[in-house]
Amino acid sequence: MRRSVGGGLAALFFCWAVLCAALGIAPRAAWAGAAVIGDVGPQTVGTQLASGLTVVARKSGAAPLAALEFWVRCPANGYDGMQPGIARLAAFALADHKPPVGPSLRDAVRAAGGRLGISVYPEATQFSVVAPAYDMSNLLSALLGAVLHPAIDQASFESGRTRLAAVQVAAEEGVDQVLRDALFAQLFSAGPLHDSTYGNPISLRAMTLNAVAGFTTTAYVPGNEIVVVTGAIDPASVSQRVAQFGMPSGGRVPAMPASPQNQQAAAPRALHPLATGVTGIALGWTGPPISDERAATAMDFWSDYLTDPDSGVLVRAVRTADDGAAFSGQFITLRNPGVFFVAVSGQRLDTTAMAGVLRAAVANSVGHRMSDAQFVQARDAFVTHLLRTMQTDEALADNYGWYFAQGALSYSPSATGPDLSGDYFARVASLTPDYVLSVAKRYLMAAPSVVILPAGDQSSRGVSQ
Amino acid sequence: MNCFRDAGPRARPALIALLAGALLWLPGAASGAAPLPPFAGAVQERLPNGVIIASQASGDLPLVGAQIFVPAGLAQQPAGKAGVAAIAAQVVLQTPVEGAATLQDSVRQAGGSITYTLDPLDTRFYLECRAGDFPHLVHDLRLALGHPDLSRVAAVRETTLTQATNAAQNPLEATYLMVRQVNYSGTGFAFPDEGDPLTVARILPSDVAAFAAGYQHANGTIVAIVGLVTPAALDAVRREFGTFTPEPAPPAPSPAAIARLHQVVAHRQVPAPWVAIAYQAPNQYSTDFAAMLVIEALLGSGGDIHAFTFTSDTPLPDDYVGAYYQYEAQPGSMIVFMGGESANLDQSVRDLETGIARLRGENLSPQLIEEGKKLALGAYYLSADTLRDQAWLLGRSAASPQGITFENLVPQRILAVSAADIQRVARRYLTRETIAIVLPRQESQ
Repeated sequence: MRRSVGGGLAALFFCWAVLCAALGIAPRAAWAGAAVIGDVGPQTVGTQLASGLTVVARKSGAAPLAALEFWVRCPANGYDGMQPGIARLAAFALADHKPPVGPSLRDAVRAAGGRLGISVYPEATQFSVVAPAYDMSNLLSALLGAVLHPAIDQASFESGRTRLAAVQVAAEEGVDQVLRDALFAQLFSAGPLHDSTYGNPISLRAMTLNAVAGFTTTAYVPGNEIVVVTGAIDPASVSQRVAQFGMPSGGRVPAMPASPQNQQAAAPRALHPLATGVTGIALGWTGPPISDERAATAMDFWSDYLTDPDSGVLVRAVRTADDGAAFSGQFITLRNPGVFFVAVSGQRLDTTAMAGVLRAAVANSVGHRMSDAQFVQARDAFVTHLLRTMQTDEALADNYGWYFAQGALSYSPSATGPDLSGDYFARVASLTPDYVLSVAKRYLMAAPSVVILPAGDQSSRGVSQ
Repeated sequence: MNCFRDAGPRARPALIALLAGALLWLPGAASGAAPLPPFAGAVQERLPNGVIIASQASGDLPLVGAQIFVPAGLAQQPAGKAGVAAIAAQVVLQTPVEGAATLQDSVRQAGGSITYTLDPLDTRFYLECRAGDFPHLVHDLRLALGHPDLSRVAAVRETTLTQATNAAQNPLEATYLMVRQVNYSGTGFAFPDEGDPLTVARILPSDVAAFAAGYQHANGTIVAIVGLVTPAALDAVRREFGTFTPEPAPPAPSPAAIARLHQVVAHRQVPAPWVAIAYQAPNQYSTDFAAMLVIEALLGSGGDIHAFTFTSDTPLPDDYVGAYYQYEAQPGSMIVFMGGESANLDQSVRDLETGIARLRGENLSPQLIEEGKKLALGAYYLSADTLRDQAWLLGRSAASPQGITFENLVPQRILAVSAADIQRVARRYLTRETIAIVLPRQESQ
């Protein structure tokens, strides 16, 4: 441990908790009914409250900032799979809801000079607040008030609808988003991973206040949720503060609807052209589930090797073929299966030729074993890339939230420190050239799902996917 | 790995507080009741040759970020050589340092990044990497700074020429440049960051060598290092930069004073007009800086100081609405950008002028000032959430008359701003406007 945290009883508790964790003892939390959870990083307190709510608080960074995040596992298209966009509308409405006393969450954050972010993923919704640390206490209350006792009235429902309509328009114009959504729709035949988290104008029109309120009642239960606080904070006192916030009663944790894989996913699918005239192509492969941590880590490594913006093998191949093309790609760790995707777009992109370039580069990469020296260099670069993406308080919190949502909190890359401790980096250290190649071959030699965004003629433009 | 964060539509700031009237809840440390927490402790030292090293440790992860400020920026570009700063900095990145591997290659192979940013009064090289890699990579950077490979000038010049041509089509870049041409006449900062296509084409290796000689002056060079700062990292910085020549860099030229209102018009291939209204403003080390930050917040900041800086890895914005405070130049500029869509620009300009008149007036409510201070404080702290920005702020602090304590003094000064300060600063600076307008090009043009 490099630094002590806070003073007085809080520091004593923290040191005690860390000592117990180091000795493999499961200590009893300092407040009734709370249990300390496994190792989630240095200067970090991780607890699960009696209500089922998980809390992670970590002291980090040099700036007097704090990141407050709340994640809830929930299907973005509703529990019946018939309401694409409902999780996003619910989140917008909760952020805009004005409680009897004080401002809405959105207004509270703005007035504090902070930043509110709402991100909705197929199987989780995230609220993120970044603000000066001196306002952490007030904003934590505002955040918890909005999400632990979710309330939506007609005004906040209407506000959420308006916001959702606006982001739907923006999402339709983003070629990357369009390609990614279409690829997931191709890979999964139903369930939350099948539908765009933005929904569509038809589903938006059909949403009612009752449906959205019902969705939050079902989804926003403590056993589904995590609060993460990082930054210039005292982890023990923050955790205690969350514990002391008026908790709702437990509530039944609903099952996440399944997202079955599409058995005909390999057949290429052409989308309607975009009004912008941009063309593109996306390829996707299913990968290991998060439960196979070593294989998932190997795919992360392989993904970095292929898609790093500066040095990725695929990036270089795409640039050589078309210097003006935009590239994105990533392995996304999911419960089962994970997904590796790449997308390329551009104003005059030859999608057929680009598909060949991508397939050839992927095939070539899995066609030979790296030398030991190449592997060590690539693995070191991968670790550095990953650490650099986690350097802010918010990014650390993001990774705790994401892995909680996938049911593997202690596997989060954030659960590490300057010595690269923790489950994730232990998995990285265990990788070998033979193993990563075997994982890459297992998943990337299968035929990918393909979606194509063609140029189309002018008359057909304006009809988006 | 984590999934991608939602992008969503970007919020367009408006002239919020001045025009809104009604105020929101003001939480927490708002009125200065709670003490402002400081940044992590920092240390500053000056090497015998004059190089300043500032360090701030935060060892969450084994990463280091270092900003190396060298006293050769846009303003120091000689007349007729606009673009030489960009070319020289890019040549440094392209200089071989380990066999055939360039500095950029060498850093990328380690998973790190090396970039440059052109500021009005200096060039900043930013190195981010694992703590264990830092000593050898900072050595590579020092090699490249000392011996930039001039054989790369021709290729880099071609790339810069393309950038300069493209930038000239960007309406925001055009309005910002028109403001700079007026406010910084007589200095290299009056010209485009990438240079003018005409001047770039004439830049020779000898011009680059002459400009890059400015990278070697110890006085004016600052190395600001944050993250997992180890003794080995500090030793490496001392060793590498302790050999810089102690002679001070030549002083940057001063721009001509502005004595009258200016209006400049240009035409571009854009669907709707853009307008930038600019005023001279205090620079970051002025006693009026904090009050001007609050004014910027009240006007509705559209982004931070880095929004328009020319870096090797970030494109210029193609959409920016709101106030932009350029306080790294001497003097600074407060610029309000409007337009880019079918908004009523005349009305927006009138609203801005009304708002500024109100700032100069007598009746600023305490609530309005409090809201502005909260927003300014938030913007200040949130501007330092990455290693890159923390190192930037630390370096700027080290260069201030107060040294590294500066980064903690600014929030205190923001908190102390009064209505009288706002009025005084508004009356002093927000008077002589420069208006830059980009209009859609007509078919005949």
